Amino acid sequence: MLRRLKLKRPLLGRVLLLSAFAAFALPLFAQNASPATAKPAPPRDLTGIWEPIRGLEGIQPNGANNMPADGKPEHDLHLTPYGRELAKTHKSSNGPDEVPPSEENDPAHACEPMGFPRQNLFEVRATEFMQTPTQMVLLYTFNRIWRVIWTDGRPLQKDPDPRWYGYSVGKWTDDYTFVAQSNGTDERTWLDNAGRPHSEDLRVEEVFHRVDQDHMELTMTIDDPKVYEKPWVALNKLQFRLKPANTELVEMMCSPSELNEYNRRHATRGAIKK
Amino acid sequence: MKHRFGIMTLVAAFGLICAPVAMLAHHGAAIYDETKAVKVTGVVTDWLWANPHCLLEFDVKDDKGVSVHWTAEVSNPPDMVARGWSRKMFKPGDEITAWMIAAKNGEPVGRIARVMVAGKTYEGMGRVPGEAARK
Repeated sequence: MLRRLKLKRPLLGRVLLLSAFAAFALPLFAQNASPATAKPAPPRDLTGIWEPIRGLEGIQPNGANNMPADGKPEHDLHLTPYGRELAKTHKSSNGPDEVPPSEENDPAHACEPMGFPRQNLFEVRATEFMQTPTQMVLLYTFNRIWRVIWTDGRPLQKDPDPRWYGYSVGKWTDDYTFVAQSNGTDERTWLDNAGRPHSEDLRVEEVFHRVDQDHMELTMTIDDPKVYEKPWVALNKLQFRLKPANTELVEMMCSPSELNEYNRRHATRGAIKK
Repeated sequence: MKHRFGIMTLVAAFGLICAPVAMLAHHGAAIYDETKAVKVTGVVTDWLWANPHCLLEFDVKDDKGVSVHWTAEVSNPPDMVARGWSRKMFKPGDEITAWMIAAKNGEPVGRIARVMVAGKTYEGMGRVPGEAARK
């Protein structure tokens, strides 16, 4: 049968084979340049505009990319009793327990500050990295927020006053790996878009590894013993590609008046119970 | 020559099936019936280019000639720019055809998966029910 097919439709088999190759293999080549062709990265330098290679992995509508809220046992975050109670107060319009937009209480959807670490676990789009002798500065597309990671050798404060984006310090552990530690985050923010909670005891580690000139990976670990029984990896080598230096970023702001219009004209009508 | 169309169709279909997952919403789809496609033709009354989601408003005449006012969303401006949409692509009075999913409650509220305006077709948010997933 196979022989007959080959004889009758030799071209068809080749086309399908090439299609399969194009669909699966070419994107991998494009996303992970081979060592032979990739230019080496400059040492201790993340300067530039970086964007997640696969857009949806940066946007993360259903929660942290590596641990989405999809109900699968392997993505159970093992909340503490305190964490479970805190989680019940969060009504998300994404994830397995999603509610209609009119019933949610997502602070970010009311244009409250996204906060950290959610800034990395939702709406990660093109992000510009700037370095000074004492700071690594991240400029995010969403809401034009910036974060400062101090690189002047200071330690994290032991008991800081909480704030939306916390406090961050970082250092190079080798020529291509920059590690940041953060604490002091405000408990009012959600950890991710699925409404996972966190406490003021949250510690976050970000590992930025520059693979070559055009590629970087971000791994992010959550450690919050008050809310989670053990640390968990929220991003596992999320891949970024360097964009041209002259890239003009698209503006994306949360505007309360636009949000009100969206709810008034659309979300409320769609959620009317009949 | 005889088989060219068939082969090209197969290749296209294969590519569609293999395409990466569709862009998803920041807000969920809890209000929508995602199993049914709704196709309507109407006249634009307003186009709101805004966050969190852009909204297209249009009037559709039913079988009895009664006008029904629809509101339908797509994603936010940056996502839609990436799909070739723009702030100026609709204006009041434009005739459009929209392929949508609609609200479960029966209200004329939808999410646009595809729209045709001025002879051009644009892919929207999610996919048309019954069609293969696309990027």
